[in-house]
Amino acid sequence: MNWGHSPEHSLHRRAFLHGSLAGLTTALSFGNIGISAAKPAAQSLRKRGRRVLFVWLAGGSSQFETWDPKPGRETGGPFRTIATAIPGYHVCELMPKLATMMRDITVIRSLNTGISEHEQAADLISTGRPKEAALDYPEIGVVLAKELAAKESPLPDYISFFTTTEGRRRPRAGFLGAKHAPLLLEKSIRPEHVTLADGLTETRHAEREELRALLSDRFAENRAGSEMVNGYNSAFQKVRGLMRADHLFDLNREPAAIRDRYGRTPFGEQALLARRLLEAGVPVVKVAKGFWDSHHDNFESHRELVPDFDQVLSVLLGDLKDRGLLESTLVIVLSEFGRTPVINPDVGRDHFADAWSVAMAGAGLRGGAVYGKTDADGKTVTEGRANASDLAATIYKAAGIDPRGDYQVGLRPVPRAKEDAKVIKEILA
Amino acid sequence: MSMIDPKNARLIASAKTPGILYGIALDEKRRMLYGAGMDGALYSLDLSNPRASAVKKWNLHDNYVSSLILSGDVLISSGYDGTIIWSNVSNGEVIRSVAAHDGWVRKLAASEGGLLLTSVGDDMKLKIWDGKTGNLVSTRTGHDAKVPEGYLSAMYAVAVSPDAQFAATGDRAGFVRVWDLVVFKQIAAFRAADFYTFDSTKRARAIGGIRGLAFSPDGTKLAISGIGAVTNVDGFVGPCRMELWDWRAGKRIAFAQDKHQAILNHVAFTPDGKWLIAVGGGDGGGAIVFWTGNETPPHVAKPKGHLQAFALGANSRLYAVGHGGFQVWQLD
Amino acid sequence: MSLMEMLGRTLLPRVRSHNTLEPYEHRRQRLIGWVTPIIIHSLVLSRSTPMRLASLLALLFVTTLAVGADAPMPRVVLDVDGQMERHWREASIRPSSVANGPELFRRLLLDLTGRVPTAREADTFQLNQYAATVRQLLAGPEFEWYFATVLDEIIQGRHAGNDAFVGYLRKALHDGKGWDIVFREVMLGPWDTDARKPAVGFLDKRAKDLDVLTVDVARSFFGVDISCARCHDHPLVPDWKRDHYYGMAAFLVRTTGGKGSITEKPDGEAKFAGKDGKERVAPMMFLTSKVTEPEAQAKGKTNRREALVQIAFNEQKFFSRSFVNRLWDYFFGQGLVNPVDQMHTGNVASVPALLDRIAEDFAVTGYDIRKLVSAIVSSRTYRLDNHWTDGKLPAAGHFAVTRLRPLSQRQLARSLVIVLGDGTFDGSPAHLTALDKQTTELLPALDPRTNDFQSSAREALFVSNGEAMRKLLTTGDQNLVARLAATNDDRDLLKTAIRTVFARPATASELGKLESWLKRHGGKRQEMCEDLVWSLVASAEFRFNH
Repeated sequence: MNWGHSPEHSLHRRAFLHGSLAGLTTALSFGNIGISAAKPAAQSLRKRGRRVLFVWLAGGSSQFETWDPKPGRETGGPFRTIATAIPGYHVCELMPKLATMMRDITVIRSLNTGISEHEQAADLISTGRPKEAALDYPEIGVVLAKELAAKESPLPDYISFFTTTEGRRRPRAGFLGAKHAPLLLEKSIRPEHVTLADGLTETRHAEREELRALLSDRFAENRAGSEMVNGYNSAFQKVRGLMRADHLFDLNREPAAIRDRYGRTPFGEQALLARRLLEAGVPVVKVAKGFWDSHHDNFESHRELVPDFDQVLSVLLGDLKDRGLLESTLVIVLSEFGRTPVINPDVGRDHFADAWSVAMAGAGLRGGAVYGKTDADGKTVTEGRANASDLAATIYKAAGIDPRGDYQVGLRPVPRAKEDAKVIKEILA
Repeated sequence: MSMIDPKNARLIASAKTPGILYGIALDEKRRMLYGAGMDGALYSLDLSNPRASAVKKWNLHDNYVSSLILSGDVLISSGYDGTIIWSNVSNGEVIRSVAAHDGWVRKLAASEGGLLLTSVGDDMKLKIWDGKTGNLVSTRTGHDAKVPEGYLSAMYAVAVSPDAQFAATGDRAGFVRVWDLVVFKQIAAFRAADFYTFDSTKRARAIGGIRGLAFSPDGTKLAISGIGAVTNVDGFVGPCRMELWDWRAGKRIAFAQDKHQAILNHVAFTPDGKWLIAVGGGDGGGAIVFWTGNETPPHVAKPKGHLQAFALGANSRLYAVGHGGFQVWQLD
Repeated sequence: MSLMEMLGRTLLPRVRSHNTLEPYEHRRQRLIGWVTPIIIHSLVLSRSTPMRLASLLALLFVTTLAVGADAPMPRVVLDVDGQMERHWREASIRPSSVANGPELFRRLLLDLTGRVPTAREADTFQLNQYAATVRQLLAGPEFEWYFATVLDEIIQGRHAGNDAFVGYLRKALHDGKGWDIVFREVMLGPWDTDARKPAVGFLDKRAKDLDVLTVDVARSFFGVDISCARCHDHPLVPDWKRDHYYGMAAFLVRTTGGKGSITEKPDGEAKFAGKDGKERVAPMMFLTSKVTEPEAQAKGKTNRREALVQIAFNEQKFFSRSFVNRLWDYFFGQGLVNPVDQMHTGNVASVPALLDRIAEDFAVTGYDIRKLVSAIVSSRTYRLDNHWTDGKLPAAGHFAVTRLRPLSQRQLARSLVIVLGDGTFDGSPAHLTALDKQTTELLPALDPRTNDFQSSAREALFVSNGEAMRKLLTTGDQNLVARLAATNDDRDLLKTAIRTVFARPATASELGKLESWLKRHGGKRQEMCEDLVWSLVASAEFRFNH
């Protein structure tokens, strides 16, 4: 794990701990690292070394109460807006901190993904494809983990947090095989059983595992269904890496000041942990914040959810930036759909996939780009319509991976992104 | 009013307005009903004409109107624009506009006669005003800005006792505080936690809160309305609920709950104190709940539409506002 | 095979029907069916003694056939192999050969009793006694003890594991109750006696929420997930409209209660807002679109759940097919219809004729669960080998080769406790109860068996470092590791270890390699045995059903 010992890094840490974010940005622009939002992010970052962070807002967050507000309209709701660092672009007043960071953030306001049922929509958004009976598509994060993984990394390629039970998703490895399934942290943010059992030594631990793997491989020869054995063996391969990485999951190793900045809410802690993991080289991390499905009392619920999101994400982006990680980390804020313009009798908003927003930041993106438009009431997309496949293709491209590249599934080559997917070039660096 | 018979409660008139109305004011003398809400405008309904339509009068606030109080000719309104406005109800002329709270003004409550006005807002303050002059008399704090789980709280309800001695405030997390309006001090506090459901395992958020507060005619008891244990915090999916408290002792006297899934947004005693009435709505549809304040189970009437507030009139009439506009009910 | 049987087999003509070669059993039954009356007729009517004698002999012959020796084939109904063989022929697929004895026995024991064989059992099993073994197992106490948990999972889903409800299912299996009776008792009762009262558990957990109740009834008993159709016509499945969702809800809307008591309200309707926004009352409509007219309102007499049970039996298709499919899914790792709660016209069975026929016949047997289980595990299809060397693997839906299946949490936990323990497990009720207690702690740490099985690092960490696992390996002076450590000869040690853990004899090459490993180990004998045993139980051969 490389905490970085360059002078710039020390500067970042000191400034981060003592100064405000604004002050830090100023300091940076005078330094060697010119992360100015006006300039597009650097072009030639190697694919290897890139990381991806998914922030999954489970349940369908309201675009009206976040990235695409419609103040004063019948569909707008009671929240007003706040100006951002991008002239002419306003966000909901519930996101004051992210508003100041808009030059590092990219927004797509014109998603039209059609499916407004939770499970299916989540499948669609997370794989970039409608579900097919014949082919089991992997989740985008799994594909990214496969492509971005370092050869002999002791750490898992993909760690996924989902501590709420509602809307819990287990990223599917699909045809890529169970080998690529992520480490799931569901009950707590720390994997259990990462310390050596009583009386066991590292050597014995290693030797047992070697024998176990050997026996398993021999057993699996010529057996139908042996892919499951591969997945089983992979799980054990990860064990040693996880044991050695146990300290990564220990938030007590972070200064109290930083823990307080992120906040002691579940989402805050997961975000801080995600930063530690990304920094240590885990290529793909997913944190989830649930559950946004505010069918009733939408405004009170978003008043509860959005400020926490605003606080944590702004701190996280700032933290990544300070550590010089943002330019090589692609951050994607996703949900399964948006929420209806019409406010229902119980002061709620229902599912809506015809015109909604996602936000991204970091590697491969043009910070400050706001792509696409919806009409005055947020009922339809008027410009820049994009679907789930387009979004997936764009994510791959931003991560430095060719969306047209394919995998061989049996005799059939299957491209990563759907054939007719269009990369949204306007938001790429 | 004491002759109400909940089983006979029936809708006798309604009038549509767009969106949701939150505030209601009744002018019995002039047979006019007023409502305001989502679009910030004032609507009126001529009660002398059973087939009247709602009439849009003029704009009151630059955001939702949350409460209305009528004091003679003067309409006092609160809004999510953070202001309290005194205006002439006949012609809309603004008498004064006060920047009342830092954030949404959630509710108003006034003493009978309108001399004392209280307001609660998202700055978690109780403000006490001279109802006639609009002067701020006192500001009280005490409700935590955050719920125990660390998320933003809000003050949803305020009530003034009939003798104008006390005010009560209630928040999202179920905390209730009672204030002495003579010396402006908090004199009681308790938590009616059954009104707040935080789901930490499934959804990591909450719903509920103290939505309605009302002092009994003798001022010794406090009625609270809201929703009971919610099974799915995505919605008002829990039994409609009321509680009656001896606020001085900080003890709950009785509670009423019905399977009908709804949150009760507003509660009031009938003038003779015999009945508690609350209105609301939720997953089970609209609700008007009648309770005698003891172990007798409440009776639930099911209006179409989620109701937000009501006013009791002469001849056992109940006037309500909510989603869809105005409703007039006969209660005997 | 008896002489009579040999004669019978030679003499009885094979009849080709439906392009299948009729198994011996069918021929025998047919012969008995039409020859017997002729013989009796002849016996009665014949006047001459030689004729009478001939008829008597013929009758004797037929009687012997009827009584018969150990009939190796199941009865006419539930003919899994017939249908499957036809399917393979039509698809031009050559299935794998039949599995070897130890592997088959382990598979059978896991599937019927939820645990691996003990070393002793493995030693005694003979492949040519397979049919008798199946009969014994199905008649024994372990089957009903364990299989009740399988039924529990089918019925209760995420609410499985309630001891009282499982107890009810155990008794139901013990008493040979048909699946139709179980369904009726779960939905209607009577919940009067101590034995029947726990059956209320399914409704009890769901009575407070009509939507949950409706969705779970459809899923558990009819193989259909209609939850999407609550809000709008199902987006992907044309079969399920909102009418169907609310039609099913209409059967359940009057169900009320919870906390142990379920009753039927005298009124109540399932209502929903149609496309025009107007509220409509949903008539009771089954998944087949068949509507049930409400009976005349006799006070307290109308029970809509009764109507649901009735129509489910009349419209047998869903009820029967769903259960057959579920059991198929259990025994083969995937259903004939996949997923098991997506039975609709857009998702056909991979071998439709098989599902339809078995489902029909299952109903004919009186929904006899044991008979169905017996038919499945006795079939050749079930007994196929897990190995495949013939190039490309046929698609799973052809069931032409046995595929690896992960052990369920329960199967794995029980098997671990048994093989790592002191070797005295005997399947008696006392031992079964003790076993359940010992496995409780292990269950949540293990990966659940799902169709889309994913091994997690969480389970691997638990197996590697978990305290409970360590205790299993090291506790007791008569447990496997201790007994091995007390064995002086390395070869004997290895043979015992393999036999105990894998329920099969060790191969020569295995012994050779492992001996070298033992020699290289260098640690204390106890530690060496611990490590060896750990590697065996954590290896894929133990983890999977094959």
